[in-house]
Amino acid sequence: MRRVTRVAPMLLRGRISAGQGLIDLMTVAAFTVSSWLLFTVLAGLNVFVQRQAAPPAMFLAAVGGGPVDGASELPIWTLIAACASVLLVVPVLTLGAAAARMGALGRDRRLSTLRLLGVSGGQVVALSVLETVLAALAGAVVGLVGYLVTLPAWAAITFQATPLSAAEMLLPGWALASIVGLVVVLAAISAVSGLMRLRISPLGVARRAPRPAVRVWRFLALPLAVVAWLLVAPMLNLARAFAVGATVVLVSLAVFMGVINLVGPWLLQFMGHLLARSGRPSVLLAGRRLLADPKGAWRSVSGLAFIGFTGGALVTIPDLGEGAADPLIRILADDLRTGTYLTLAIAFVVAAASTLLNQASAVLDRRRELQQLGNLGVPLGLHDRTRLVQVVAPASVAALGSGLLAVFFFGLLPKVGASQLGVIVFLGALVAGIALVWAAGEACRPLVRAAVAGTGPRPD
Amino acid sequence: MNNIPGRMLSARSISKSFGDVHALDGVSIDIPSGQSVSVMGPSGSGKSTLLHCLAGILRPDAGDVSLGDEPISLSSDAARSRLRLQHMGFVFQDGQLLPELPALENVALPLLLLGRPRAEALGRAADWLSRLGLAGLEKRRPGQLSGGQEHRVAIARAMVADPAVVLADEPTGALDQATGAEVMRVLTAATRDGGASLVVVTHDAGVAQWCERHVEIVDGRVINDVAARWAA
Repeated sequence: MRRVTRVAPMLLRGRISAGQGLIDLMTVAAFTVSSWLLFTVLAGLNVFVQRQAAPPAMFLAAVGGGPVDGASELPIWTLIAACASVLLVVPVLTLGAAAARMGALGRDRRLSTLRLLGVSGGQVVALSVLETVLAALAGAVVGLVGYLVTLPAWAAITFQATPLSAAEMLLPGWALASIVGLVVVLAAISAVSGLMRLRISPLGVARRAPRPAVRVWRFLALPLAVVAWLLVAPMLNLARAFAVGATVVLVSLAVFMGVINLVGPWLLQFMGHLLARSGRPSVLLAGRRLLADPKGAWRSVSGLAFIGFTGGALVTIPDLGEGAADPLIRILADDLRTGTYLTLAIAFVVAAASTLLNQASAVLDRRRELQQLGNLGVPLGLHDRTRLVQVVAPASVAALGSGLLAVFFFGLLPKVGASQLGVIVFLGALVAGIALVWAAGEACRPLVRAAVAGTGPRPD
Repeated sequence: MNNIPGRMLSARSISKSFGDVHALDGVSIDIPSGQSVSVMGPSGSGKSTLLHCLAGILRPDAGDVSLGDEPISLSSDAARSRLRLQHMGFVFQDGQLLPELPALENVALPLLLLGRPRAEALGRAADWLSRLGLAGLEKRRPGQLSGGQEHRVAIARAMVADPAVVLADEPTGALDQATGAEVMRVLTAATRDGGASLVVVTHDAGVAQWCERHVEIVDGRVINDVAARWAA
């Protein structure tokens, strides 16, 4: 292990001085984005928990003339904030995991050379995990700085008739340290899991092990969850036992998030089978790439699945506020709108970053292959068309499917209805989200051109 | 179907430089239809640059390259790509197959890119795999094939569109001697049976001996161009 830690800084310096540190830079950038969002989302949730314990004076003054005691209704805000956090934390962590995997896989050629030199398999894994952990730590620290620097900006946003203050948004030191630790530990786990795919033999031959197909039991999780929720939801009465009801809703929401993550790769694999029957090379290639790595494809669009889910939730929230006599209802309606837009904005950032990261790493990973295809006379347009199908088809399925699932989930909750505005925002979010993911994919076009021309950055 | 009898690949006084390095210096070569030619030379002699210029991957700084009546070196990049796809086959040292596609679809890919119906493309691909002794392995992906099998799949892909010429760059470089010899046997037999010319760039005399004609390049110039003893 000591030998490994001695060569790690040397290898890193070598890569950077040779101008080949693009993958490392992208990995750190992805960790920065995911850490910054994690700090921000959890800080936002913490604001509502704090305010529930000590209601803000401006809120109490604003609802003072209403028929109900405003302070007793604050748990509703906390529940909604917790729901939004559950929605966001999963894709944010997925982005971090994707970054770790990219970092680990991009190094396979170098690692195979080390194996040839006599470094053991365990040491190779340790070296890669060490590098990923360093990248995660660097990203988490930069993300922390970003979070701290942007704290004053939150004053522009108002919840509960009270602007968010920097002091409220500042998490305690132990929480900040825990989040950094969480990012680093998850990165290490993801790096090991990414390396499991590489069989690095003592002869230094790095071969990509074919991935086993995603099993059909994943899909069965969906009807099970649907049936369970059909049984549980009617029994909820949030007004009578709020704490119990809220806990059931949160746990169920987390279960549904998990189910979406389970079913998503299977659905993309199924879609891959359909596309692979095509006689059009771009569609065939996109289908085969989905089949070759449905989990990876899902990681790149899972952010969009959560945009769809958030948008779908909006459809079930009745149009409140406008013209409502009760100030509490007006404030709640305003906050729901603000919270939703904020959640969608963060989900958009995650979706775009995930797609950019996955597509860019795919191009770097395939650099040699793209160059060879160019030599064969394969037109550049094929890569663009393949990427279009490969990105947009799964993104559409992920966003629409999750949106419909959200309509089902939130539609069964008590005190919900339907919202025309929600439908419009949902459809708008779907179109915007898919366009954003498409744009992120298109941003890789110059990288593909450079790879085909043989001047692109090497992935090692 | 793309193999037009008598179609000759020709280079006339081609030169190519990369900065201060003169990779090719006035090279002329004619490769008649159906002939197999080895291009040998030490590292940095310009043999791969010659292959890339013949294929239209690189445009020479001076001189002309043509395939029959088609002036390769004067065409646009898109036109040269189309020419390669229609009339040339390639076999590389490594990284030549798409890892996601099974062997059958890897071989069928050039035909699909040329707009042939899927059923026809897959049928022809299966036929070529069978001719090269790979029947039963159609559904395997590159990671599930041995090095020699992968090269044979690449040869099938190079031949599937009936090319006028097959260009091979160190085709056995990543293989052991026995497998390399087997790949060369299959490659020369396939191009001979298909009526295609074959240009093999190699530094290995054992590989070159499979070809009818040997061209030697040093410092970007042809210093030797002879028929193989067995072919003379």
